[in-house]
Amino acid sequence: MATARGNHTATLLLNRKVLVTGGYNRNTASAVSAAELYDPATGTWTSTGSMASARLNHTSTLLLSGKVLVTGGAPDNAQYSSLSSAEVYDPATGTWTAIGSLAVARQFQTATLLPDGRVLVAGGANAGYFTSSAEL
Amino acid sequence: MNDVFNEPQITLAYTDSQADKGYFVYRIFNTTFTGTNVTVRVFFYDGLTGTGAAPGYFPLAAQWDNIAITKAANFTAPQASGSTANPPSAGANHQPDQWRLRLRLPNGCSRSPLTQRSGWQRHERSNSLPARPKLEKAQQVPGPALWTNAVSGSYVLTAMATDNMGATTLSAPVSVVVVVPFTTTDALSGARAGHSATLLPSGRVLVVGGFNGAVRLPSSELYNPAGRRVDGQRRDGCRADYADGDIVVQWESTGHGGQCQLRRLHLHLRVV
Repeated sequence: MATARGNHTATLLLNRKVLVTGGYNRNTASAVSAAELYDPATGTWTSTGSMASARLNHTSTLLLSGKVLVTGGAPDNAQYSSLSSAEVYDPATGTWTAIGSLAVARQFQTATLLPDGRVLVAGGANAGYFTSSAEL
Repeated sequence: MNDVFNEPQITLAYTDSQADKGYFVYRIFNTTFTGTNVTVRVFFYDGLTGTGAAPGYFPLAAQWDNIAITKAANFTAPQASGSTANPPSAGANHQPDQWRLRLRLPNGCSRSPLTQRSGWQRHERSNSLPARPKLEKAQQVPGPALWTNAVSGSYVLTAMATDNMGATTLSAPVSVVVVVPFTTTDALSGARAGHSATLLPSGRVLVVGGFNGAVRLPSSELYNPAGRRVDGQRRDGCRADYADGDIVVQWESTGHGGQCQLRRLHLHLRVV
């Protein structure tokens, strides 16, 4: 990868490539907004559009449309605050689009694609507060 | 070129080929959101106006963010915004008595969830821009179309109007970004982070483990998104079995209480 990172996400796309988003770069001591694509067929990495927000401890979910939904996470490694923002990645254009925010900012949550195309975002933590709330 | 804040922008090129559509229409094109529904409003006007010698019509819509297509024979270049309108007394033979909206997806696929034929209502043109000419004749406006269960994303909308003589005109494409807000649903039985959530064939979600700020959780639960409820909970011990349709779910963790960590998770097909 072009950017060293941990606490990132990796999502298999319909085009067989793997989208890696966000994370924490210890070298720069900052969260990452950059995203990269890994092509298993060629074994190569390529950069793609960056998220609007740098984030770690977030979720990345492949949608039925083939796009990828990223929710929440943390803007830094302090873990005192979490993000409520969400973005959608379009593999066709390599771009991100900001969508509606979560009602509750959270990191370490789960985001599960349901059969009807909705995504269940459940649990997580924010500023030391752990939540049982869930959103669709 | 926008009289409504955040209204989708439209760029029109007025050429003879566009003008040769039978009549002109004028519209306001915007969207509003309620939950997962998007209301699309496209207002068509059948008024013609001009600056003097008939048939020197020009599309009044051409002055602002709207659509204006007129008869090729009557077409003249759009006038500057704020010019004095002089609607013809007779009007055109063509009347937009139907309208249809089509949603065109970015990949070029086409579907028509926005089809509506509506009775027309009397409508006074908005005077949001006082400097613009106010129509002297009542305008006929269709009702809005409701796009239900919209999914967040970028779309291109086009509007098609069909008049009483079968002539049709198609609007310029309008890019719309749909942002469907998240909706809060029923909570899990308890707070947890760093857990797992696995979709089961039944559509329910198995939530296992995690951390609640004090201890690692030995609990799990079956969450039913359809019923927005927790169907089952296991709080005691570090092993749980669920029957979920034809699937038996078993998860097991190491240790007890605050020392629990997930060790294995099995999904078994139950032979009946």
